Amino acid sequence: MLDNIKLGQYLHGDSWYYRLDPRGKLVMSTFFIVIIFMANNWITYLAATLFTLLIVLTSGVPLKYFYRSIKPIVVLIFFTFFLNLFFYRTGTPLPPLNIIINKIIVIIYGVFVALLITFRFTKVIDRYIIPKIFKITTLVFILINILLSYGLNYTEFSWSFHWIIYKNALINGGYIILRLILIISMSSLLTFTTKPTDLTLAIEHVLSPLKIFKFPVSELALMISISLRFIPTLLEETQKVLKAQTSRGADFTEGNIKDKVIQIISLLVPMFIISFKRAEELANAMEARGYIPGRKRTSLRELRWRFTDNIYVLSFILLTAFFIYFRS
Amino acid sequence: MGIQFEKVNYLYARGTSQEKAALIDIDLAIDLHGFIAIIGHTGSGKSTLIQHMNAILQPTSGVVRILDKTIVGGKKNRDINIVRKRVGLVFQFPEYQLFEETVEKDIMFGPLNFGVSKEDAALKAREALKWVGLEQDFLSRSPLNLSGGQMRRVAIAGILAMEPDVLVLDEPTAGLDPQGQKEMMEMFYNLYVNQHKTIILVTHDMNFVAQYAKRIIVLNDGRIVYDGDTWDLFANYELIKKYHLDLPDITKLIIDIENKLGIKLDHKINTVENLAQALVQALGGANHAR
Ligand SMILES: Nc1ncnc2c1ncn2[C@@H]1O[C@H](COP(=O)(O)OP(=O)(O)O)[C@@H](O)[C@H]1O
Ligand SMILES: [Mg+2]
Repeated sequence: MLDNIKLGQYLHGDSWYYRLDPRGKLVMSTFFIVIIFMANNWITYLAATLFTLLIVLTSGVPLKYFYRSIKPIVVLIFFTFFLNLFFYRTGTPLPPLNIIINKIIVIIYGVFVALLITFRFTKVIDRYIIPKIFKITTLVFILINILLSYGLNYTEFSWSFHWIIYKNALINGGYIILRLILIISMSSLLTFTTKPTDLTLAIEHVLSPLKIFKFPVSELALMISISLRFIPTLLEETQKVLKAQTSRGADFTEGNIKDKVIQIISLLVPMFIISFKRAEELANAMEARGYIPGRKRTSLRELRWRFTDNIYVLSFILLTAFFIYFRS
Repeated sequence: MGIQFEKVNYLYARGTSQEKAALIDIDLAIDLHGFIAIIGHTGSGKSTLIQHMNAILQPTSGVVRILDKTIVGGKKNRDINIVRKRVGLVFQFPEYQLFEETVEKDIMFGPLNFGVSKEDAALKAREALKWVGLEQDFLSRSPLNLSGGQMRRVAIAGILAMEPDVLVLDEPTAGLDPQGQKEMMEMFYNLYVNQHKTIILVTHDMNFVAQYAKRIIVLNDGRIVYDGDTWDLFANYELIKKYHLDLPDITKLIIDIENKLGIKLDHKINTVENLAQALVQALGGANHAR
């Protein structure tokens, strides 16, 4: 049921990228998301792609893991692409051939979404998140599209709706896909190669200037690490409660709204109780071991900024300069 | 009828690096009206096995027949909710499933889910509360501020109120005090004798197993390694040692006596009185011989 949700994506390994200071990795990954939006022509996108590819290929993380982290949002990516085709309506329309292209695109998209939904979503979300509505709307959507594209043959006679693909829409759509893939690859790389504890430590360091404004940075960092630690545990508990209520006849797929509400409550109340109980136990355990909020504490792991970190940061600055120079 | 497993396999986290075969080639036939114990080490697959009995888990391959419903592995099986009414499954630490404002409402949750009218469900709640040995004035209390043992009884009542033919329990006495454990076991035996329920019980307590279960199933690393008469198992010292199983106190005592006195006794002796008699005979005989 919840088997497919995976957290704590850290993969054991070693490479120059693993050894980078998590602060640099964190800040640069964020920085990358910002500067990628500066890219707006083929040369800047090419540079961004090569840059990312270089890092990804030398990071020592097998490519299949990137594929895996992109897979869940493939639907989203294609949906965005498709919407873009519909609504991007400036520039030059494609030549008349477009009717066939249109049809092909629509059919490919339809088949693709249908395959994805039947093979992936039925397994993951299975019967627990109203898949019927989802399936039906997608089907209707596909049908309308196919009908529309057939109708286009007779545009002059019977259809007042002109569906025309613009050249820029295609290009732009392609850029959007590329941008999403690049962003996801870089962010995944960060979580693949950085232990959650290191990441939290990095967050703590990066946010530490906020201490001037009396912002409880260390406490926030602690909260993040505790949350990360307990998410898998709570997911496990959720699964248990889900099974227990299903055994009592709760059916999370069928039934009217009123039944649904009760069934969701039957899940939420135990989860709240379990969470509070765990939180209380943990708080007591921490207190028993001398944790006092706001007190200065040392850290078991010291972060070290090395020469390679400088180079890493510098490469991003160069990339930015390249973007500024070559963007149109 | 009853519950049958045919060549059932179950994989957790299938297709990932943590893939784990929790059940391997399980063949099992359980008829109605029995009292059966399932034992085995932690991680041997007991919980996984019993979750197949009401189709909470469906086999990766193989077939499970639950009463008149057939669950085929690797397929999408429809309309399985109804078997959960007839095979009541009580999870380990079931007190976590309580969520309603009152005990009565909580017990009614199951029956209502299976389409019983409100009035009937309320009647069943009263009845179920009696079976688990709680007073009727519990009905209006909040299930969340009862004692641990009481909460567990209410949770079990919530399953009993569905009036299942088969009651499957996953370590129902874990975490209870000795008196509570004893009462709980007596309660199940009572349901077995007086309500003619089929009881399938996962437990680590061999004394209770010895006392109540006629048939015992031993799991080891996802396989059934013994399925048969309870006392035959306890008398089979090799199997017990091979799978590191625990013995009931009386059998341990018998083995102790055997070792200390260098005599042979029947390992199937199941009461202290019978043991005393056997001892008198064995020692008396030895004295005569001297
Ligand atoms: N949700 C799960 N995901 C992955 N592996 C699991 C899961 N639940 C149980 N397992 C594994 O399956 C095996 C059998 O578990 P279980 O049926 O709970 O055993 P038992 O109840 O006998 O202690 C164990 O090795 C356990 O680690
Ligand atoms: Mg178990």
